[in-house]
Amino acid sequence: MVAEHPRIAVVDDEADVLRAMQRLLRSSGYAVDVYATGEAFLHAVSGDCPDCPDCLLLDLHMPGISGFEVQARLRARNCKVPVVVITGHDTAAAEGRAMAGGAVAFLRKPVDGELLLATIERAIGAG
Amino acid sequence: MLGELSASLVHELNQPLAAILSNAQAAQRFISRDQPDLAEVRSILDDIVANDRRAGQVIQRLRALFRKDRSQQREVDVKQIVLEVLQLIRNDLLNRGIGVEAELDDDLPVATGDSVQLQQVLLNLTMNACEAMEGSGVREPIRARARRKDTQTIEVSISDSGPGVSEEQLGSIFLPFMTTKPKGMGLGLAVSRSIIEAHGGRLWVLSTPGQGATFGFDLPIAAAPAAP
Ligand SMILES: Nc1ncnc2c1ncn2[C@@H]1O[C@H](COP(=O)(O)OP(=O)(O)O)[C@@H](O)[C@H]1O
Ligand SMILES: [Mg+2]
Repeated sequence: MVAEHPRIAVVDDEADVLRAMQRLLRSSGYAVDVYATGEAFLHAVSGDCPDCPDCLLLDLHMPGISGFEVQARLRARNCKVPVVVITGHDTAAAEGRAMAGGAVAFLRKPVDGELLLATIERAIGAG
Repeated sequence: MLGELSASLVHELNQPLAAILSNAQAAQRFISRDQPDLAEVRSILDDIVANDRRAGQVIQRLRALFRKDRSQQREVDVKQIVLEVLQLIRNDLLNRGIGVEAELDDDLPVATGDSVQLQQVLLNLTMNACEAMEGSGVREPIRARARRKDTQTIEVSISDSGPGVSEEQLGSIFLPFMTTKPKGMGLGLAVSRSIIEAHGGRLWVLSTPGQGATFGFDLPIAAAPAAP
């Protein structure tokens, strides 16, 4: 069940990007939690899926564990949160790997707000 | 180098551009509300300005990287250049509690080069030395040396007693945008190397990991004026 204000988690090591995404999502009525590392996110939602956000926006290349690794650990937990990967490293290999890891979408920075919001809506609807 | 450069350049520019776009689109939404949150919009604008400056800085440094042809090759007094740079960063060093010792040969011949660019190189090397020492807690002074190496070259070097450069890092520290510092740009060494190569020299590094690093370069001694 999706709550009235769906909750989006954003994981990105760039503080400026994180803040900007948080504003964009808030301006569209989402509740937003931001994390600077994959570890911080995994730690925060370490409980069962009720703790999980309705959608996860995930950067790939970060200090500490990578976005791919976050995907793998969520899979290992059997967590079904829809993952939207947003990255500046837009190689085909990265896209293939992210999608194979179960991402519902792969977006390239800088990502247009309309596209992002539409993607999130679709991701939540499908989840 | 262009391949590596463009990949990292894309990344360096993408971050501020991504932040600017999301911020601007958030602001559009915030102000079209019945009761626009002006405080929020104001802080968004602050961030947009900061991120735009950051993108501009990337471009500016890149320009410096490719500005070889505009160098003004003149006769330069290396000793003077080193002393000017040390003067420039004197306060900064004092604040960080780091000393400098200059070992400059008294009878250094005149070299050929672009004094502004050479100052930029020395500034980069000295700041790096400073930052390396700061992280390691060592308080030995930085050493700035200039000596006549042979009949044709002057050797200039900056030594620190920081952590040094590991074998593994040696291959990459001169690449543009390669940095291990949270706020680093990773362009100091790339720009310096490019400048020194435009001077017909080579920027080198000697390091014993754990004991410090020395970065240096050679400059050609100016040709003696032709006999009358
Ligand atoms: N004196 C030094 N001692 C140890 N490491 C150094 C030194 N100078 C440079 N480095 C390494 O090389 C990297 C690149 O340096 P530079 O191109 O000047 O960029 P930045 O200073 O912005 O990181 C640094 O981040 C650091 O890891
Ligand atoms: Mg530097």
